[in-house]
Amino acid sequence: MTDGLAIETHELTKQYGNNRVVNQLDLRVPERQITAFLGRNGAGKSTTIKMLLGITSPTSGTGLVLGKKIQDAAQSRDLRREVAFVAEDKQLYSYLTVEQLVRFTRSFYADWRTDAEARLLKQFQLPTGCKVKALSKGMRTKLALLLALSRQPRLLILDEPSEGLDPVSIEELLHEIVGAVAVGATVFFSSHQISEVERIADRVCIIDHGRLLVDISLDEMRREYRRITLSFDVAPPEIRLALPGIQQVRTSGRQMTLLARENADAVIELTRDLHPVSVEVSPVALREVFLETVKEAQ
Amino acid sequence: MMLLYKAWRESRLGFVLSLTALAAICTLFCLFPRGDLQHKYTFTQTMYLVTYAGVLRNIFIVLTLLLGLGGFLRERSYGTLAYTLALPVRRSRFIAARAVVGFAELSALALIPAVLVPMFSRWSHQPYPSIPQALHFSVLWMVCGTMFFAFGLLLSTFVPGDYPAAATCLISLFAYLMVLEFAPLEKFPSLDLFNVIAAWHMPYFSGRDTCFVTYLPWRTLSVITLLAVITISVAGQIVERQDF
Amino acid sequence: MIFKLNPSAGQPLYSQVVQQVRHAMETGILCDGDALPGIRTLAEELVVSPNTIAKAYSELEHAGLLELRHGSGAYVIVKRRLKSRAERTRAAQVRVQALVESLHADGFSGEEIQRMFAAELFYDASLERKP
Repeated sequence: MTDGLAIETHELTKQYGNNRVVNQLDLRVPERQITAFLGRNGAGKSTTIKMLLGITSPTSGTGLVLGKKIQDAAQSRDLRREVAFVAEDKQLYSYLTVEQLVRFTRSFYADWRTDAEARLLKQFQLPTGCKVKALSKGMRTKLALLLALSRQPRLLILDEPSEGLDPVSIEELLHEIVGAVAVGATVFFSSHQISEVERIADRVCIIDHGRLLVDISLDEMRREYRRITLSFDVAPPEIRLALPGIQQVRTSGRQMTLLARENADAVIELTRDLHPVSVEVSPVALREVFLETVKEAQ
Repeated sequence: MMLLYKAWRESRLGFVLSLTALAAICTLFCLFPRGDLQHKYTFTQTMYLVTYAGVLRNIFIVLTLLLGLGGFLRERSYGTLAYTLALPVRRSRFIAARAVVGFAELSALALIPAVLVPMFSRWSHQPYPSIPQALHFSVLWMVCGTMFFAFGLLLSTFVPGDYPAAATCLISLFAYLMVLEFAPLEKFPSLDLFNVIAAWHMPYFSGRDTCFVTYLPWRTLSVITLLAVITISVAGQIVERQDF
Repeated sequence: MIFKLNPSAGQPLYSQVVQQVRHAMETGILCDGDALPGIRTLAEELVVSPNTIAKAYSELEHAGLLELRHGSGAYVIVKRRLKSRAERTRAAQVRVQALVESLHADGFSGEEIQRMFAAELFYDASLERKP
């Protein structure tokens, strides 16, 4: 086990027939940080999470979660004692009431916190006597979150946790995630809500067609990624900026735009030799990084 | 404990419906036994033929088969499987919990004729059978029922969907009955659980007097129980290795 | 104090926190000995990762601007030279105000002015990073 990693995979692969849903994935999720797992629908996020929890077994490759092997049934069971998980579906036993389901879940975990349970029941306004099947989708999501957050797990794995939640509830959820990390938990969550990810994540992993394309800290991304727009008064020259860190070059009319992953200052220096009329340098938001990354992968 | 509770809650509706159906049919057969049989046979023989050796027996067998259905594939269709499998519990323990609850449920079903048949036949002033005799049948029904239940449980580990699984159960039952028609198997009457459960043409049961004349076939029943336990264990091993 | 963090700005969030604390100290919003919220409290308030606040506080502590007292919180240290810098900052603010007003008078919109400043500062910052 490498010190400081809550999740570590080595060439993790899952293949169904001819379809490689997860392809040689090398994931590194540091402890006590919030890591976001981004990808399009069908990119392999949920399958990866299922492998980490032992729900699905890998076709090849290995993985460690909290230092325990995911392929070993006994170790997988041990690690699940310290992992709180919210599935993408958020379906729960429809025949139980909220109270019954809480009692059921509580019985499996030594780290259950009844004070957090009471607080979250009140905060999420969950009717304890109501059967799960009678709850709205949003309430069911909140119940699923309560079952995860009423514990003090070492690792929280959340698959689309904010799906179906109203803005107030999303804010409450983010609040809880931050609170969990503040007391030493690690959070690994997948989301389509880029704005949420930008606010709270320390790191971002972008996956597409089962491959890990980007694994970067958001601080580094904000510091290094730059959009450089060169404007010319003639047709832009045909150039090939063969520098490491240039993700993409696009030309439109008399303008050329470059997405630099690093070395932005070196690129800017080079572009001065092209004598552009203007050089505009602007920051790159996570949404743009994500879209450009998956587009390039295609 | 909580796993037993879960297994009970999931099977509760099916069990209550089965209990109700079996009790209703038993009552009807007892109160309105078939007229054609009554002309040929005595009252007790008729009672035996329509309950312990007849349609009621067949319904019990089908119900125990269906009680075995459910499990992870059903949960997958409901979307709750990820939650269940993320619990820090061995998968085979869920199977064990279902088996324990299922056995308790089919035992309750097996006691229905023991309660109702003597009660209704007493109303007709022809008490049949005595309680000990009725309980003999209940034991046969419990043990054989366990085998059918175990088979249903095993099928449910790899046939997805409630209807396909139920259809597969019934088709398997018919296939079993057809295999039993194979002449060489006649030498092994204990292979036919339909006959074991009804004590039909068995040396420990008198068809003429419709009563048990000696001890129950404990060796046969032990083997059947063992086979049921093995079947449930195999189901447990299958789910431990399954990919969801 | 009130923090305003922009996740889409090309600047790490912790760096924005550091900058805003420094600015508050320079302009007198934060005075010597003022308490800042604890790491967890501030992270929950701003709904950002606690690591962001921890990094910011750590940088401020290394710069000698913050004192972290375990269990008690974070306390601002405003040195004498920062106090005079506060006056210079106020004077600079007045010059910026005058420039912006004159650009408005020349017909430039607020957005255009903001873009010009941003482009200039990013270009400037990238030149500064050159070894």
